[in-house]
Amino acid sequence: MKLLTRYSLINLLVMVVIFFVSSLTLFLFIKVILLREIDGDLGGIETKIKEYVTQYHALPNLYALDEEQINFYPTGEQPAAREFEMIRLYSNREKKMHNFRKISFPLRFNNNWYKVTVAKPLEGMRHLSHTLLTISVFTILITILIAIVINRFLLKRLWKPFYHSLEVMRNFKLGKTGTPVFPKTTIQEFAFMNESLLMATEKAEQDYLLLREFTENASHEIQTPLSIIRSKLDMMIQEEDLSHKQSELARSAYTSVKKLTRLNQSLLLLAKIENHQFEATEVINLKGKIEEKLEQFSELWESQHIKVCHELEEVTVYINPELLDILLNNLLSNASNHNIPFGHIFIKLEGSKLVISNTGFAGALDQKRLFTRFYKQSLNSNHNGLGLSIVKQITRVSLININYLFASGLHSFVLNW
Amino acid sequence: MKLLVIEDQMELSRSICAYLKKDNFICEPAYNFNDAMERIQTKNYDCILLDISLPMTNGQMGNGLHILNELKEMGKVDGVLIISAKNSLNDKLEGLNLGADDYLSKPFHLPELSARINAIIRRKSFEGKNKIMAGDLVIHLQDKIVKGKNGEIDLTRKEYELLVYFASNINKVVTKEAIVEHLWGEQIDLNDNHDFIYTHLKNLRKKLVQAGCADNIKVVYGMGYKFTINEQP
Repeated sequence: MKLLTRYSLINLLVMVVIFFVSSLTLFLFIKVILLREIDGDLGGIETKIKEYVTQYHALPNLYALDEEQINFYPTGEQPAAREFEMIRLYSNREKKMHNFRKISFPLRFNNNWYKVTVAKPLEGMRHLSHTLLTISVFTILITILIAIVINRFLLKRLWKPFYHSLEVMRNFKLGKTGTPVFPKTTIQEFAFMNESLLMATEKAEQDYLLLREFTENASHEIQTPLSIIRSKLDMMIQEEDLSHKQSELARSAYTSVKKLTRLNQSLLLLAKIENHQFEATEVINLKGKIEEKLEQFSELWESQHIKVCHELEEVTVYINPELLDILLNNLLSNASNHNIPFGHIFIKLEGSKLVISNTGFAGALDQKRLFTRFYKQSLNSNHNGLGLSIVKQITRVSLININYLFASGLHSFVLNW
Repeated sequence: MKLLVIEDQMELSRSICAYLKKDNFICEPAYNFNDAMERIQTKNYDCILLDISLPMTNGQMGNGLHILNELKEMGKVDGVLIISAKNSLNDKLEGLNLGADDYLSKPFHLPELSARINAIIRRKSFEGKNKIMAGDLVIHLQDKIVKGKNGEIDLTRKEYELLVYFASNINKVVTKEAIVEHLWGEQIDLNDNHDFIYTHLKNLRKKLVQAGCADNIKVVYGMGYKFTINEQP
């Protein structure tokens, strides 16, 4: 729910409650005041009747036209003390039942006790409540209307810098868009927010650049000593009288240098992909490219007695050529390296789908960790565990969807774009 | 052949010079920008090895690209082989655009370097040098034909490339690893399985022997191979 909608809803709810409560209170107060007024009037009539009786020793005449309905009931003994009550009586004037306020008080006259009742209609009260209700409803409606208008225009305008900043942050990408530019605002909170956001993004950007620089520099720095080691080994094995033992030592040193080289190159490549250094894309005939790769790998497969079946349709893709090359190399190397002797590799290219499947020793691989860095099936594996995370990175920046499937002994990587 | 090695890493430079020395190359090392500039201004070289990531000296803009620019202005850009710690396409393209002949990224195998330098020199001094004489063999580079004592030898592409590679590293031990990288490229991650080059080598040796040549390719135990040619008296 949007902030403004939520605010409006709460606002409306509170307003409605406040109006009802205030109307009710007003109604009750006015009712009490009016009752007191009427009771005062009734008290006045009581006094007048008592005065009349004292003065004239007779009961006063009753006029049918009077608004008040006065009755005298002779009682044998002294009636109950003076009291007020609400009753419903037939109103002569309106010709229907109506609410009345009644006072009953005892009156002694000619040594007889009378109970006198004076009733006054409460018509005014009814009108009052009607009026109050109408006013309340109207006020609420008008208030809601005004609230909506205010929310629509005023609040939207007030919150504009906030939404603008939100948009800026949404478009912000580390290492790609540079420092975000926030709109100027005179509202203190928003200005503060923008300032904080700017500081945070600048810091992130700075750290990111530093990290990027570090990774690249570290990798480059490692290349030089590696090339020195390798050149020294190349020189060492030229010696005529190298013993078998020395050869073995040189051999394992070579192997480690190679591993380290590959590891370093893989890390550098990952850093480069993450730094968007392979932006340039072009239209590439994927079928042709795969055929080229099949040619490159054919001897390797032959020596491993791996049978390759392929079914390729004419497909063109829009991708960075270097990345495509690495992607195919990694997937095909993967399919060969984890294969079994006399195993199979199936390659199928159709529409917007490429499937590379291979037979292998292991059962299904761990879907979740498969593409993470340094994931290895076994600890003593010869691979650095970066091949698939490079594949993942490449597919990510090339907007290709990659999935791993395991079915009937075949490990498959499915690429969709 | 005169060779200038512009490389600030003294140890690497020494290895390169030591490896190439036996091939009738005279190597001159230059360890810094000023040294390199001085040498390229006063002398002519058949091939110049240039480390593109040469550090700056005395606050000068002293990197490899600057030297390359300088060489281009002097018209001596022909025969430059760039070596770089940065395996980046942009660097490569920039270097090649400035007129460099080839690009090799660190860490490289010395036999590979030797093969590249030989290729550059052959290309540069085209006349009369477009064939390699190696013992009984004559490799015609332009037509990609190999002739032995008994005439032409029919080789596959890989076998031919392998032979040219050996011819650039005569009397040197070359590891299987270096051969694989040369023939199949670095990109293919081969599971440390270098056995499949054995087939190519076996076939190549067989064909050479059949053509009446001496079996010059020797297996060096646990290491690789060596193409030996006895110095002609």
